[in-house]
Formats: sequence, C-alpha cells, structure tokens
Amino acid sequence: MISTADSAFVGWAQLLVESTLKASLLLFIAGAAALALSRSSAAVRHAVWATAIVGVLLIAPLALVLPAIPVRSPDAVAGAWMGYAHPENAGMGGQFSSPPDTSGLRTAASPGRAETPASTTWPRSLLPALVIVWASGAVILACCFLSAGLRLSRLARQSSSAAEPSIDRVALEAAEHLGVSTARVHLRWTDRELTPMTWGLRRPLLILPLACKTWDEERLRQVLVHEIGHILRWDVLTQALSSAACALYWFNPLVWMAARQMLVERERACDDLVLESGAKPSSYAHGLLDIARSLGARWTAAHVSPAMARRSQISGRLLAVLDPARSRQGLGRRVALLAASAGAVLVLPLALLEPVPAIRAAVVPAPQVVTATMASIGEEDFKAIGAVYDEWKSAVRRRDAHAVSLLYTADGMIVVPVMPPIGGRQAVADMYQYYFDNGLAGIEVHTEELYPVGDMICELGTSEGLTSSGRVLSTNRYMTLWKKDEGKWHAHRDYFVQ
Amino acid sequence: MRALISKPALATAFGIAAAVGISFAAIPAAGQLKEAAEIAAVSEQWRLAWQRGDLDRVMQFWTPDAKVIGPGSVAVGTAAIRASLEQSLGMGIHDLRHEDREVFGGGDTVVEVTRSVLLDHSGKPVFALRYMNLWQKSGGQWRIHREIVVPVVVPQ
Repeated sequence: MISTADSAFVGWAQLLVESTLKASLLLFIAGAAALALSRSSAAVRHAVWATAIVGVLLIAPLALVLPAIPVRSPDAVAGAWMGYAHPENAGMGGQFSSPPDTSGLRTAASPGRAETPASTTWPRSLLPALVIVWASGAVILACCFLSAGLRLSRLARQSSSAAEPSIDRVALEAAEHLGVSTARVHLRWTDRELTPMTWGLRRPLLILPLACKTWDEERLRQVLVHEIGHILRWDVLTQALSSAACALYWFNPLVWMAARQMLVERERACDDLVLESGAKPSSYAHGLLDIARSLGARWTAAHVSPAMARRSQISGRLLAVLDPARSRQGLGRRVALLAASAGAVLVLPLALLEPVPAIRAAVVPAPQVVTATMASIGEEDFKAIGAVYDEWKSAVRRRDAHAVSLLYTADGMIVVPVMPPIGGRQAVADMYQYYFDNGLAGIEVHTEELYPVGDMICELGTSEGLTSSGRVLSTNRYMTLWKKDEGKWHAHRDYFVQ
Repeated sequence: MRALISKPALATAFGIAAAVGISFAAIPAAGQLKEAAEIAAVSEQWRLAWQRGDLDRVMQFWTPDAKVIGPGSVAVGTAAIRASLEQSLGMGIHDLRHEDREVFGGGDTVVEVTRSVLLDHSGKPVFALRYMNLWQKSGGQWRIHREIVVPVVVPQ
C-alpha cells in the first residue's frame, strides 16, 4: 500500500537526485572553466567557483518553481528497470503509466497473492531511509557550521575594541587604498592565538591577535590589506554560501572540492591584493609563513570565516605569492557581470531540464501487478493495455487533453469526489485540460490488482499527480473498468478518490 | 427474377434476418440481464438488512477479504468494514435508493456502478455516493469483494 508520506518521500528523493546530478554537472563545468582560466587571476577563478556554488544552491528551488522541460532518458537506464523495456514506462505517464509486469502475471497465474519481486520494491522501501539520512546529515552539518558561527560571534563580542592609534591609522590607509569605506572597517583584539580573520556581514569585524601589536608596520599593513580585501570581496558571504552548499549536498564530494577550491582561490585573491598594494613578494611570503607557524585557525572557525593563514594551504600560497608570472588582476565589474551571466545561462536551463525517466527509474519503482486473481487475464491483453499506457504517457507529457480523452470509450465516464460524473470524451478532455492548466504534468501509477470481468478488466491501484518538477500534487486510489472497443483497450468507468 | 424479389419475399427475408440478428444480439444481453437482476436482488436484500439494522446479515454480502476504498480511508476485511458501517448507522442513515445502476461482465465476477442516495428516517436525502463494486459469486452467493465509494453532490 502506498501512503501519502511515501509520495512525499518519493518527491523529496526525486528532487534530491535530480538536483545532485545537475549540481555535479554544473561543478564539472565550473572545474573545466577554472582549469581553462589557470593563467587568469585567483579572483577570476574564485568568481567562477562562487558562481557555481550559488548555482548549486539555486538549482533545487528553481526546479520547484519553474516549469520543467522533460528530457528523454537513455534507453539503457530505463530499460534496465525490471524488464519495463520502454523508457517511458519508468517515467511520467497518465493514470495508467506502465504496462503491468508480465513476470508478475506469470507468478500470479494461480489464484491468490502473487509474490512481489524484491528488486522492484527495494527502492521505494529505501526512499524514506534515504531522505532521512540526507536530512540528518544536512542538519548535523548545519548545526556544526552554526555552532562555529556562534563561537566566532562570541569571540567577536569578547574581543576588545580598544583604540590603537598607530594600527588604526594603518587600517584606514589600507581601506582607503582598496576603496573600502572606512565605516566598514572595525578592528577587534583577542588574546587568543588565532590567525587574523574577518567576521560579520552587515558590520564586518577584523579580529586580530594581540600579537599583531608587536609586528612591524609593513607586516601589519600586509595583514590589514589582506583582511580588508575579504571585506571588499564579500568573502564572508561567499563562505556562508559555500558552507550552506556543503551542508545541503554533504554526500557529494564535488561540492566539498568546489568549496575547498573557492577557499584556496579566495585567500590567493586577497594575497594578490596585498602584492598589488606594493608589498614585496618575499617579505609577504615570509610574513605568511611566520603567521602560519605561530598562529592557527581552528577547523570550526576556518569553515565559516575567512582566516588569513591556514597551514594546510600555505605551501601553495607561498608558491603563488613568489611566482612573478602570475596574474594578480582583481575582479572588475565586467568580469563579475560576465561570470554572473554565464552562471545564469547555465543554471536556468539546468534547473528547467527534467531528466524524468532516468531519474525516476532510479528512485521510483515501476508500477507492478501485486495481485492478479485469475489466470484468464492473458499476456496479450497486458501488452495491448501497455500500448495504451504508452499513448497515455505521451499525451500527458504533451499536455494533450484530446489525446487522453481518446483513451476512454466514447461513452466512458470518470467519477471524482464532489463533482457530477464526467461522461464522454469531450468532458474527459475538458477535465484533463483543467488539470494541465493547474500544473498536472505527469502521473505515476501503481497497479495493485487486476480482475477479469467477463470480457472486461477491472483494475485497482494508486496514482500520483505530479507537477513538471516532479512534486506530488495529489495521491489517489482508483478503480477502473477497462473495455475492449474495436480491438483496443479503453478506460470505460474510472473512479478515483484522494 | 422480378418475381423472386417481390415485396413480400423481401419483407420475409428481412424479417427472418432481423429475428436471427436480434436473437444472437440478445444472447449476451440476456446473460448480462440475468446477472444484473441477481445483483439488483442481492442489493435489495442488503438494503432490507440495513433498514433492520441487521449488520450481521449485511456483512454476509462481503467477502472475508473485501476492501472498501473511500476518500482518505481504506477498510480491509469484514471487521474494518463493519466498523465503518456501524458509524454510518450511527449517523442516522436509515435507507438508500439506488439510481443509474449498470452491471458489466458476467459469469462469477461482475462490476456494478451505481449512484446511491442515502436517506434518513424521514426519507430525506442526507447525501449521495457513487459506487463501483466488484462482485464475486461463490457457492451461489454474490458478495462484494472490492468497492470504491465516491461522494458526490448532496441531492436537493
């Protein structure tokens, strides 16, 4: 029996799988772009990764709100699904979305309940577990990041804001040099031995260790330019987005790799700002090494705020700092606009595409006959009805209400709650058109029982009305009487309730 | 030739052909009529038992593993169906009137579709339902094996 909760799990699992595939594709493209831009500056590559991460976060919400464009799946994927060789059988469809499983027919040849093939049921039974595992992972990681953020907030609150005129002067000069409003630069001092870091979105704080006070002005200027660079580039925001992507797609290593690359490029971009401000590469490299050796960033803080010197990245950064051939160009408005446009051009179609059959074949069990009480429902009839199913699915996908109506007998009738019976093909077409206009784009059907009734067939099962993005609009139970009319099966009486 | 296809001969030929055709066409109709009449009779017995409030008798018209599908609920087995019917009795449903009955199939399995108006003790319509029932005949007794109940507009 299929419950509404199951349908919700199917919807979530489907969205999760679709979004993961799309996000992975987007990150592959971003990776290729970053590789192609290896001679460009770190700021440009960071923009590529940041755009990709924003795209990864937007794919699922956009898929939910935008109309979908169905994509045919590779035959191999759908065909692998328990002998439902036609790719459409695993995907969208009309009420009768797939021909009944003829292997089920063979096992049900004798009266009584047929054994359900295990391989057709495990995906649905695993769906709730899959969604719960994903949600648990996402919540745990979100809590970790939130906890790290709260700790940093507490550190910021506990830190001293005592004025240090000589250091304040250097900070203001650095801000002016980078074109950052001095009102956005607030220094805080902590007695903890932490690497300098920036925290806060609305009112960014530069949290500096007290050890800074012993540094000479040159190193201090380098550190401040680097940290104010984070403010200039809104790196706390992009870091938060990358953490959100990691929490949501914690199971996808590509997202973690993208987040790591973003972090690496971000620090290098700020290093470039320091070098572009006139710092000597050798002096800055020495300073970086010294800070990394003497101070550290905790893992928790490192994943929510831009910290200056992480030991794990230091060798790569030193090489980049000392490389005279490397481009150190900042991110101009034109490049930022280009990255955003490219991101939109990629993300929008990706969100719209709905690789329905392949994905649903992976997460949704194909309809099957659980019970066939009599052996007299012949395999030929199943195949004939299967052909009708194919027409039905195609018509629903095309939102062709007239074509759906032709799958009913001329005097066919649909009975749904609180409405007069819908009799005749024109009325059936009108009803389906109404459903299409209100978002119906596919129906999953799970045939549960079939009974021969003279020369007719009575079918019982459940169906789910789906939106173009695969969300479940409604879950129904139906009882349908099939009639052979001019050699072809048609739905003659079709009753359903939610 | 002209004499061979005289009007009386033609009329006779048409008459014979029509009689044969109608007879053949009437064979399945008569068979279906038989089942339809049997279902109507069983439904009437069901209705009389319901009027008496005799649920033990009413439950004899269901197979032991019967299933009733309604909006938001599925009752499986006689115990669950009985509990549901007890609720209906408690709501003051005293009688029902079947309309627009159709019976399909034949032999030991038929599908009946009907519109039923549920009446209170004063004969006033309370609400209307449309049913599709799958009847099975076993041991000479018709019983409902599967049923879907769809509420429709309240009759005036």
